[in-house]
Amino acid sequence: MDVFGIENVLNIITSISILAVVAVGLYIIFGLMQVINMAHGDMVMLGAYVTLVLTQAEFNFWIAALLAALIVGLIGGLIERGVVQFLYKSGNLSTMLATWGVSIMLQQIVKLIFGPQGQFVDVPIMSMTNIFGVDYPTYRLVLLMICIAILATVFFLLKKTRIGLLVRATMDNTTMAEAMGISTKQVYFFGFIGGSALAGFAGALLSPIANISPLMGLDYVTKSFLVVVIGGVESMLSAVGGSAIIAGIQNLLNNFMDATQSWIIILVIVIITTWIRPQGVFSKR
Amino acid sequence: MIRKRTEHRNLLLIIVALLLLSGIFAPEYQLDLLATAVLYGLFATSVDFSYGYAGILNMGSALYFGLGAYITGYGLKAGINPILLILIGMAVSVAIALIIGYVGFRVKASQVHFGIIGLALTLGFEQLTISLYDITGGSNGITNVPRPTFSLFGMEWTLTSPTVYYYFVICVVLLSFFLLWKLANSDFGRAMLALRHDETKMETMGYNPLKVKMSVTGITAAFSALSGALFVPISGIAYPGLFGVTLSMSVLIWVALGGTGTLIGPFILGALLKLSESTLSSNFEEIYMLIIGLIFVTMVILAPEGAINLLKRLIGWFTPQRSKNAGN
Repeated sequence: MDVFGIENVLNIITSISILAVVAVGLYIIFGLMQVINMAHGDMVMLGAYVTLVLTQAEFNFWIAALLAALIVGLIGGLIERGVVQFLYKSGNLSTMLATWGVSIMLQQIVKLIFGPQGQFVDVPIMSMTNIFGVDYPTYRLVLLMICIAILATVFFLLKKTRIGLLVRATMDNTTMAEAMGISTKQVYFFGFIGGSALAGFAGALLSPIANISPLMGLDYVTKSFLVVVIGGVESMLSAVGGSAIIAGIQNLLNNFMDATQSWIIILVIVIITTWIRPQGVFSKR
Repeated sequence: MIRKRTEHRNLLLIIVALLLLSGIFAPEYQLDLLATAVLYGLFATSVDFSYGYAGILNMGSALYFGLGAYITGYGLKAGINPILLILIGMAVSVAIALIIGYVGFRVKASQVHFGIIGLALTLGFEQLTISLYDITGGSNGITNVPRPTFSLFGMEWTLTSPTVYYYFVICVVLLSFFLLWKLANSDFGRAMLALRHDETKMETMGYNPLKVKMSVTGITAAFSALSGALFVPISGIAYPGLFGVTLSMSVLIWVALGGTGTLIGPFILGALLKLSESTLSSNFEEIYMLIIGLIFVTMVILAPEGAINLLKRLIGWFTPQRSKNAGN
C-alpha cells in the first residue's frame, strides 16, 4: 500500500477522528472530575453492542446509532450516580478501582449475554466513492464527516454556549464555580453522561468496521488516556491534537511494522513527551 | 491511616504458623496452589509498599511481575542457573523502574500521569511479548518450564517436588515480607510517609525526595519481579497475561481493599482471592468475575479503608470495650 497515497491518508484521518471523539468524551470526564474512568472504553463497546442488537431488530442503522449514544449516555449517568459520585473525595485510586470494577461487571454481563466471540454489524453503505482519484468506501467517508461534525458541535457547545461555559468554569476551578452558584453536582452528572454518550456513539459508528467483542474497549480506554497525557487537558483541542498524534503515528507506523511494535514506539514517544513537556503538547500550563 | 504494628504482628505469626502447618498436612497439589497464592500475596505487598507508604501509584505493576516470570521461564528452559535468573529478572525490573521513575519524578508528573504511563507500559509489554513469537512463544507463552535445580553454597538444591518448592517459596516470601516490613518501619519508612504528606517540608529537612521515590519504585519492582520469577516453575508456564492490565488492576484492588499501608492486608487478600479464583472460577468463571466486580465496587464505596481495617472495626464492635485509659 502506498504509504502517502490517498487511501492510506484517509484511513489515518478516519482513525484519528474516531479516537478524537472517544478522547474528547474522556477529556470532559477527566477534566471535570479528575476521574480515571476505566469503564470509558466499555462505553464504546456498549455502543457497538446496542447498535448490533438494534440493527438485528431491523432498526435503521443511523437511528440505531443515535439510540445507542443515548442509551450509553444514560448508562454513564447511572454509573455516575450509582458509583462515582460517592468517591469524589476519596482520591484517584478509588474512582479508578471502582470504575474498573464496573468495567469488569459490564464486560462479564456482555460476555454472558452475547458470548465472547467477535460479531459484526452490516455496513450501512456498501458503495465506494471516487475521491481524489481513488475508490474509497463511502461509509468511511461518511463516518469521517460525522466525527468532524460531532467534534465541531462539541467545540461550539463548549466555547459558545452558556452550558459550555458552566462546564469549562467547573473544570477550571470547581470551588469558584460553586461559589458563583453553579451546581457542580449537576455539571458532573451531565458531563459524565455527555462523555459516555460520545464514546457510545463512536462505538456505534465503529460497529460495521470493527470486530465487536466484550473486550474491545480496553484498546480505546488506554489510547484515550494516552491522548490525555500527551495532549494535555487545557481544552478540547488538546484532546483532538493528542488523538492526532497517537492515532496518526500508530497508523503510519503500522504500514512498516507489527501493530505491537508500533505500540511500543508510541509509548516511548509518550514517555519522552512527558519528560520534555509534562503538561502536554497542546497545553500551555 | 497507620495502624498499630503490634496488632499486625500477631496476625503475621498466625499466618506463618498456618503456612508452615499446611506444608506438613496439605496434599501436594494444594501446596502448589498455596505457593502460587502466597507469591501473589508478596506481589501485592510490594505494590502496597510503594502506594501505601510513599503514595506512588503505578497502574502497571504487572510489568515487573511479568518480566521476572518470563526471564526465569526462558532461562530455566535454557538451563541457566535459577538464582542467576531471579537476579537478572530483578535487575532488569529495577532498571526499568528507575528509568520511568526518573522521568516521571523529575518532571513532577502528577500521580495520574505516572500511573497512566505505567499502564501503557504494561500493555505495551503484553503486546510485545505476544509479537516476539520466537522468543516468547506468543500468546501461548513459554511452556514446560522445569522446576529449578541448582548448586548453592556447595550444596545441590533439587526443588522438583511440590513440597520442597513450597517450603522454598514460603521461606523466600517470608524473608521478603520481613525485609519490606522492616524497611517500612525504619527511618526510610518514615521518609516515605513524609513523601506522601509533605514533600516540600521533607526537602527542607535535608532528604532528597527524588532519591527516596526512586528507591521505593526500585524496591517494589525488585520484589514484584521476584514473585513472578518464583511463580513460573510452579505452573510451568509464563504467558502474556502475566504482564497485563488485568493483573495490574487486580493487584491495586488487593492493595486498596486489603488496606493500604498495612502490608499484610494486601498479602492476605491477594493470596485468598487467588486461592478462591483457582478453586471456584473453573466452574463459574463469568459469574465469579461478575460477583468479584460487584464486591470491588461495593467495597470501594463502603469500606475504603480496606478489608483488614474493616475486619478490625467489626471485631471492635463485638469485643467488650477496654478501659478508656488504656492509651489507644
